[in-house]
Amino acid sequence: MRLIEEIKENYNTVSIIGLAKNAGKTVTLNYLIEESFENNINIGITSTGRDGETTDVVTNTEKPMIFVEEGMIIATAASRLKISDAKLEILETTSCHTPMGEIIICKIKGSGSVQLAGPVNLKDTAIICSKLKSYGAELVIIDGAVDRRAASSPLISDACILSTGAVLSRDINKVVEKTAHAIKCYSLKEIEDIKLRDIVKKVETTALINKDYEVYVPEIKTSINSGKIIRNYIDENTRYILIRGAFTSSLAKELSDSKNFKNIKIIIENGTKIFIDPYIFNNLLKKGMKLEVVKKINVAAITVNPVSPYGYTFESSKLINEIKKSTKYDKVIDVLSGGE
Amino acid sequence: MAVQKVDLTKVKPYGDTLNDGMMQLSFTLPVPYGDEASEAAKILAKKMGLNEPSVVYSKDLGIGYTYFVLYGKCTHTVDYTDIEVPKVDMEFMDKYEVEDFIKENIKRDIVIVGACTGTDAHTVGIDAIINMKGFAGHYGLERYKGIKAYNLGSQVANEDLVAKAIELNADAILVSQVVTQKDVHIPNLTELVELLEAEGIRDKIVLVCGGPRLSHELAQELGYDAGFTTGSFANHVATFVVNQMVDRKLI
Repeated sequence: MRLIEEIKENYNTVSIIGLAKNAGKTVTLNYLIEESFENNINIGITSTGRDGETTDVVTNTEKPMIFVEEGMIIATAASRLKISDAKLEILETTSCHTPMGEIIICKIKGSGSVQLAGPVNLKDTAIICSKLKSYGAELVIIDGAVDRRAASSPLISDACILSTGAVLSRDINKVVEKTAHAIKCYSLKEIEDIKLRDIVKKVETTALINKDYEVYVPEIKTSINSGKIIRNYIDENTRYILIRGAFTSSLAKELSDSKNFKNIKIIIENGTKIFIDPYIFNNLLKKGMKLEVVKKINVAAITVNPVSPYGYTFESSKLINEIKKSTKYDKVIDVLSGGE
Repeated sequence: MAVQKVDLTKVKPYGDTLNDGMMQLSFTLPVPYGDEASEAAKILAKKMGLNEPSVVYSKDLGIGYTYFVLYGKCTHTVDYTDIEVPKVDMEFMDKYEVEDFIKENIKRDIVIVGACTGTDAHTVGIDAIINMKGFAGHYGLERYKGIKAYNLGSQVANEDLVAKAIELNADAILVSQVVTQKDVHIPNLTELVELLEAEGIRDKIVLVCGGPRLSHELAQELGYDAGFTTGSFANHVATFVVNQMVDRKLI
């Protein structure tokens, strides 16, 4: 089955997330657009950054255009409409503002290239996605920006496509390692304890939960710099720590200094909340860190770009195989060379 | 005196006469000092589109490296009339107008937190915008009535900046990136956006970055509301922030 059919069968909204700039997000988007056109799937497209411009603002290298076909629906900022050459029918002006103008929802009337610039924050992205669906998009695709992962949050999309590639490092092993780390974060297990799941639904802040399922909410404005405070509330009866918001290196390290660390499970909202580099993360796992998520992130596919804009290339099949091996993930595609 | 007219559609560097394309370059190659090194420098210059390259100075840097100063004639031209640089497009208010605007439209003190983040230790940018004395005759945000400005200094970790912004109930965050290597400012800037999203406050904050290597265009791609580059002053940033707060109903 083709990737687009598989995605459409299982999900309503899919995000394309890059592990770095130039990892091949736009190529992946074009690949999905083409497949959906050939399979008569009506898609809606938006972006969390800016896409379809011809040159890269950082590396000055050429970038792929976004080519759309009749019937597709796009959400893009007003200022981008002027520089798109596809024929468009304006369906709605959304009153969702961005630095590049209001977000406009358009139906494609004649094929051509477009530039996409979507909402700046996730709350607006969620609103735009539901609008695209209400205009008849069977599948909504959100193109991510640079190396930002927030759009893959389960609050926004049902699944993500992870774009990775040579640009991450000159060392192929590092590329594989970083990709594997991302997959590891995304595929963390959901909360096993059913009783805890009910509690988590009701508690909207960072909290400690003991063996009798009593909830203690420490008085903090954010968990980010409150590792020490939270740690001081840990005792031998603490079973879970629910972290709302970002789970950072310093927070994790502070918690790991507790002598009861091994008896505790840390619950985070989802994989996009992890801000810990692979080295520290693995050390914490060795120290006995047990991590579960409120909601898992589905990875629909991994796409690889074996070419770096900094002027070096890896062998495509080698990169694909190494990533398959270390992520234990089968759907790894080089979209640059035309897919499976 | 007859002055040759500049053709703005075909701009070339100016050395002694108009359109001679003359340029001076200085760079280092990791090869030992000598004739072969100078030849390598010239070949490189030719590849860069410089005609008649000549090495006018070279010096042995030791450890097998050589430093060059090279002249050459550029063969390329630029169409100046075709250039479009996206900038923060608004009527900028001066300090007093900003103060009045806050008094009339926001009716409370606004809180702005600024820092030079990541590995960057160069505070000139953030100091020029925030510190009381300002820069080039433009007072900094600390001096504005109605603005509570906090300058956290240099090499601030993104997570500390976010924690501080939450603690102070900040309305706006200013990030400065002055000297960075190998585009490290890019992931550093996006990490801040991601942290704000993870904490669920991105939509409540006006997020601005600034620095010589940043443009408004790049800032938008990275997920910022605006980017200010060389030549911006406190009143520019303040105008943008207060307008955003009103437009986005963050009062």
